[in-house]
Amino acid sequence: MRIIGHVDMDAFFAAIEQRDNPALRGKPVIIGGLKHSPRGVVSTCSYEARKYGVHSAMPISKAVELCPHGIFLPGNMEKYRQVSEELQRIFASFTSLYEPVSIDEAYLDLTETYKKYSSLWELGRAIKDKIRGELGLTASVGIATTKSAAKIASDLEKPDGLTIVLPSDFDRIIGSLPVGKLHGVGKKTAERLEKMGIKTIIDIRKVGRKAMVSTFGKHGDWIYNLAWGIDPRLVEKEHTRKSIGRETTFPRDTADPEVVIKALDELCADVANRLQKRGLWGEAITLKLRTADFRTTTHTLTLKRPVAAKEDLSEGALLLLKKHWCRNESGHAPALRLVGVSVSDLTDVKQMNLFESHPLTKIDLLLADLNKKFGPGVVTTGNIESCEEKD
Amino acid sequence: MKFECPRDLFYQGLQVVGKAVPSKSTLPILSGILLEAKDDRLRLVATDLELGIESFLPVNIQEEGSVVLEAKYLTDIVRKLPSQGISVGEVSGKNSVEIKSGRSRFVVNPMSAEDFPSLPETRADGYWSIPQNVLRKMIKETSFAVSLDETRPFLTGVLWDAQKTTLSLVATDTSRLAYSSRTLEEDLGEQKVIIPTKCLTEVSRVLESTDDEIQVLLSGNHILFKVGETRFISRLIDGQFPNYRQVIPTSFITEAQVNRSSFLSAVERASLLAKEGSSVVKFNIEPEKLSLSANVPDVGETYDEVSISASGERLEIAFNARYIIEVLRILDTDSVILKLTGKHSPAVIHPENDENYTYVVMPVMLR
Repeated sequence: MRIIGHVDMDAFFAAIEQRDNPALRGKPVIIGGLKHSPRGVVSTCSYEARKYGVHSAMPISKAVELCPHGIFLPGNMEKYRQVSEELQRIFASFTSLYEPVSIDEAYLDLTETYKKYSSLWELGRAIKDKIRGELGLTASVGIATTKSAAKIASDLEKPDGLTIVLPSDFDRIIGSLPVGKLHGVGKKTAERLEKMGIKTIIDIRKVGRKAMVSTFGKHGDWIYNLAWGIDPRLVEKEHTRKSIGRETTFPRDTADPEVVIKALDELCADVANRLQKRGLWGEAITLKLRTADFRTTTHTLTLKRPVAAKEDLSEGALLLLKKHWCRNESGHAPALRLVGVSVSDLTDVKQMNLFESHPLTKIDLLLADLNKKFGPGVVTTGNIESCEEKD
Repeated sequence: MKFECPRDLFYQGLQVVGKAVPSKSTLPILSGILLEAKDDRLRLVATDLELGIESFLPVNIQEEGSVVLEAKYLTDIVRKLPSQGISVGEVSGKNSVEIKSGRSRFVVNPMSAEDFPSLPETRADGYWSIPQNVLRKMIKETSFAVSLDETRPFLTGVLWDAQKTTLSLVATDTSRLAYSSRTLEEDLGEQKVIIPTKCLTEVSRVLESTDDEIQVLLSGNHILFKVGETRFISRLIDGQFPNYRQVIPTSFITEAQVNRSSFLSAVERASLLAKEGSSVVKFNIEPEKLSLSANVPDVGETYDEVSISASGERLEIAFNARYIIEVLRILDTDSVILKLTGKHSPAVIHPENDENYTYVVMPVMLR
């Protein structure tokens, strides 16, 4: 049995701003984009702002409406990234096996670490205390035996929370939560489950594996396992990760190629960003499509060379889309509810090309140098609206 | 059709043309070899529609005519027959062909010769002559470097770049480039075509290491090689070969002379820990020694040294071991020259005292 911790910083960007500027403390601070930009979304907001109903991924215009006297800041990614690096050093002092999920969130494998502590509570407090002591920030920590349970746990007593879920407590603590708390159950899936009479995580067990699979396909099997507390995913260090990907659920199912292509383009930009930050290239691109009727298919393109540039990813993803998003008998391509792009066959070495004078090469070189100096970069930037993290 | 000939002669002919038989094809007739007996000669033909190979054998013809026989059966049968005279003939009144030698006898079903595709028509004159040993060496020095990426067909072939009396063959997979050039006696004019690698490989199999000549002809979209009584006709590859001259570096920051075979063994050793076939080896070049090291996560690491004599800057650079091994294997001089332009820019390898050959290779970038 493994002991896995999930550390999630509380209102990370806003908290850093409040820490560094006392005038902001106790005030609704909203970080993200420009105040008047129609496309901007809230990336983080302080708990004071949340009282007004502001939340992350909300359009800035809506936030202005809800909280007109809020303090809107564009954010300082460079600073946040630095804090994130300090945070990673703290993780590393507890375990060598930690997996940053994003700039303010990570899984820690504490299987060995906890033997040095008298209890999991003591270990959990030690992590929180060190973060508060060294960074002046609060974190919410969940400790459990699976990634899924640890993530749910860290969210339960936010902010500044500490929740421990042992397998014997799973049913009591997690079982009665709404299905939407499960990793991979978005708004639409939750709605569909509700129509089937399923509200809580325990309810999912009653439906049975067969019904879940016939309704949601493979995804249903995954959700069913999570409902029983089964999640085989291990904490993986960056370089052992098998793929890096992003997916997005459309606000409304769509068969409009323009919408789909635009979404793919944004996903590719984000994946390219992550690849470059982590110093990796990928040699296979996978496109994931989920149709309105919940049929999920994945299609992979194996490349002959490692790529990390957004243009290369977009080209590959579009090629796959053209090939696999086909018209049916009635002449229409099926409406999609989700698209995803991931890159696998990851490598940290790149064979250079004689004829490629791609501008990216220069960026690659720069990144190579920077990574060498400062250690591998962290995840960052480009919050895409209603994007779900895919591990 | 009926003829007699020595088994060895027939078998040799079948082996040469058989190389053009496609391993799988949607066109069944292509799995056969055409046998055409006419004017005291037996003509053997096979083709995959890209490459056609035709060979004439002097045989004793009793009855003119032509048939197509399944290449696999025919070659296997002839190989296993005793080394003496063979007779091959159509059985009168039946649609079958009898192959006999001594007390052994096979009867096989032929395909219709009329269905066999004819080789492209070519001009009859305008052949150039190139010494066989020269072309053979040039093919060996370049063809290994072609790309296997079928999505870019123009890189899967070898560029034939003739400028009057200078013939250059060039191949690249974009990570490395092999360039071999010779001055010939004959003026070839100006030609730039891309030849499928398969054609060159098969041609080079029949080339001798003598200065006997091979005839070459460009005709329309085809190239034709004629060696003795055998002709190879290949379709050319369309597309624009990249401008190779601009990627061959001319100035260097480090130059080293190194014994080829000890260099080769050291790189081969350093690549032993490779995972999934590709291995990255770090080269550290100092004035008197080249150290090689490889570190493969979850497998292990290795370190090796080779004596060199180098001038210029000390440099650390990483290469895909395969790209270094392949070129060192095809060269035959005792010592080679390694020239570098920087950690992330092309390196050159060429035989010592030989300006005819240049191998350019890009390093691997480590993050």
